[in-house]
Amino acid sequence: MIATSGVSTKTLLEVRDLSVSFRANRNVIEPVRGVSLDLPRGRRLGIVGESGSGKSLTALALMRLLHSPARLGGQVLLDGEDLLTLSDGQMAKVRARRMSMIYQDPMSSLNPVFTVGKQIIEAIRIASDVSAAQARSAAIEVLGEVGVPEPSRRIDSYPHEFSGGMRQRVMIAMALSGDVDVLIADEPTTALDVTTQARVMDLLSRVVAERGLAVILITHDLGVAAGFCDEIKVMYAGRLVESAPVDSLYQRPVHPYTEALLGAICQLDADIAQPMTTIAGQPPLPGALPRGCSFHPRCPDAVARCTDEAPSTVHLGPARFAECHFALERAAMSDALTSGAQS
Amino acid sequence: MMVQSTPQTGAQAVSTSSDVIVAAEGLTRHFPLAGGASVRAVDGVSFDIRRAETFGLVGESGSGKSTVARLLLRLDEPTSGRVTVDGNDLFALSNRELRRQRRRMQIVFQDPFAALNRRKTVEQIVGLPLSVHLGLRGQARAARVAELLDLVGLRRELAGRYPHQMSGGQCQRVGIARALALEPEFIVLDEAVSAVDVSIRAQLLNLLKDLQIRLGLTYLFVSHDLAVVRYMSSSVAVMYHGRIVEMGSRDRLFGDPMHPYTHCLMKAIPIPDPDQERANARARAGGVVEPDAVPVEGCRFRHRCPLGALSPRCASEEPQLIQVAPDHQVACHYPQSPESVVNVVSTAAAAQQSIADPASSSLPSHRSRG
Repeated sequence: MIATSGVSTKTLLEVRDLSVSFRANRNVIEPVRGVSLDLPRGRRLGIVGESGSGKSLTALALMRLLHSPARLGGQVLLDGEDLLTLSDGQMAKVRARRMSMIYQDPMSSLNPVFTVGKQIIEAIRIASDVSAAQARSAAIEVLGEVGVPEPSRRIDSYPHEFSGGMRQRVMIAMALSGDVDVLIADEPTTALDVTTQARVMDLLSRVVAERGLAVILITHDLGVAAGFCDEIKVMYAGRLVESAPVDSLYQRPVHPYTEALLGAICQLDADIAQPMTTIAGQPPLPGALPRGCSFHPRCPDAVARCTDEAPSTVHLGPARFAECHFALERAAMSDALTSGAQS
Repeated sequence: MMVQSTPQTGAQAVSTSSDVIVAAEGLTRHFPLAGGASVRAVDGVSFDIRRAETFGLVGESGSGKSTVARLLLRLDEPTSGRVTVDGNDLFALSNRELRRQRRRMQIVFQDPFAALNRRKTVEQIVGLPLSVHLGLRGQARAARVAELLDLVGLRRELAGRYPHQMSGGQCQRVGIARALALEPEFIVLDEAVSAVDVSIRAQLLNLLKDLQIRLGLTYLFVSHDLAVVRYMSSSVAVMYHGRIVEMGSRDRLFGDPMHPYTHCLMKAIPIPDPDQERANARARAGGVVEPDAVPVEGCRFRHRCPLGALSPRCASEEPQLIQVAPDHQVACHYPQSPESVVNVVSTAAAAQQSIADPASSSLPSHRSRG
């Protein structure tokens, strides 16, 4: 949908019209609808949205971690090979060697009855054919790389012996152990407090740069995404509703939802005397999407057309699009405002 | 069982300054570990919460802020120190008196799903305190529940729903409605907006502020997010490993933060501006060390502190809260505004090289900008 003309050889991961659907009683609900994206090597893509927007389902679908009754549609091309057509065994190899994932809650993602070393070594030995001793030294090395102090001693600790931030480092070490190309990080710091979050994001930033990984960061926090990503896609009700390089998204948001999300963040310089800017109402449920534009019931600028007609993708320039009937007008307006402010 | 309206409360307000509703005095809670050691979760914490204000308590996980919150409601017993409510010692109350007191003090928890009984409907959840404390039943109770749902901005039809049929934001509003059911004066908000999305968080912050004004509520607002604490609170205390390291009015604490830990917290807040966020990441690089075991002696923050490791005094002497302005206290031997930190680090490094005797150190003892 984005770059339909020709397949770039540099693109590592290409997602075409990905959908996730479930059959609920006699209805089919589709929480992820037509997601397309390109991820070249070294790119850091952020997918931002509220709970229920479908961003985690998208991540799980890319990793093929969704099972029946979930149905996947579209294509997920890794170096041109469609992951959705692979056998389970082939896909397990892809997850071990090509594409790995970091989850939100490190405590429930690590097995509490095995040492972290055992779990990392297991991941290493699935990914590559090495001896137990080699795997152990590789595990110690990767733990050191993610900043776990005294890795040769800590490798024999159990998950509960680590703090939340350290556990997330262990998760990152596991995700890196297969020497993967693509890393999907699903809310990796949401369970952590701000200072730990900052450290984990700094670490992630460093290892991703050192290894030249392509990353998809899934988060509800536009602040976290700002420092890490070079491209942002905003997800709402299962669709990517806006996509932009990071600087232009924050400076000149086009979609009313992006604008509202940015406005609702409580910042250190918020005006205490004023109520916070909010987005009225709740995000819609996948089974009960509004007619027309799915954001229209919450949109401050909605007009009759928005309630009747679903907007199509409006391209606004290289790597920029928005799904809004008024995307062109809004982009022109925010461009005028920014250039006005600069001159 | 039922509360009598005896005019016994008349004498209460005399003993303390009338605008302080809840006060902690030297509050300490140690959890013993096997082998005789103990975790000093809360270690000598004192503060006053004034009526109809919001007192913000900020810190990382493990700083002891939730333990303080629990102690203020007598959900836990302190190792030493006391909590007074309107001048009365909360831990000296009999069970009967405590029960009466509990009507005045409520709490909203972080995780809205975990805090609500998933086998009860909204009406049962919000109605339970009404039955237990006020003996309301049937129609009377349903009517009061409906009023409470109005108050927190939930549609009345939701009364028959179960928690899993609602969103996180709606569940949190149910938690707030339950806390308001007995018309309390004091509510502890323990990370009450931390688990919800930004858009819902903004709605809840507005709701909480609005309720405070309409009902004259006093809040203890516990959070790890300094920006949210600043938006909500008139006074703020920053906790680090069981101690208050900085405390003051919002304007002082955010206008001129003096403790290196407070600076560190401020720099860690993610900012939705790519340029600023990258600059913050550069500023953090190398400066923020992973928390280690808390030192037994000296300043608890010194291993993470850009200044502390340089001064022998930080290793030997635990800093106490000192007054740096009328409404501002800091527990640091070298309290500094952020812009002068760099200066002090270089001065301290120079001092350490040239001076062998720690006692004659020429380190600035107070806010040097030189």
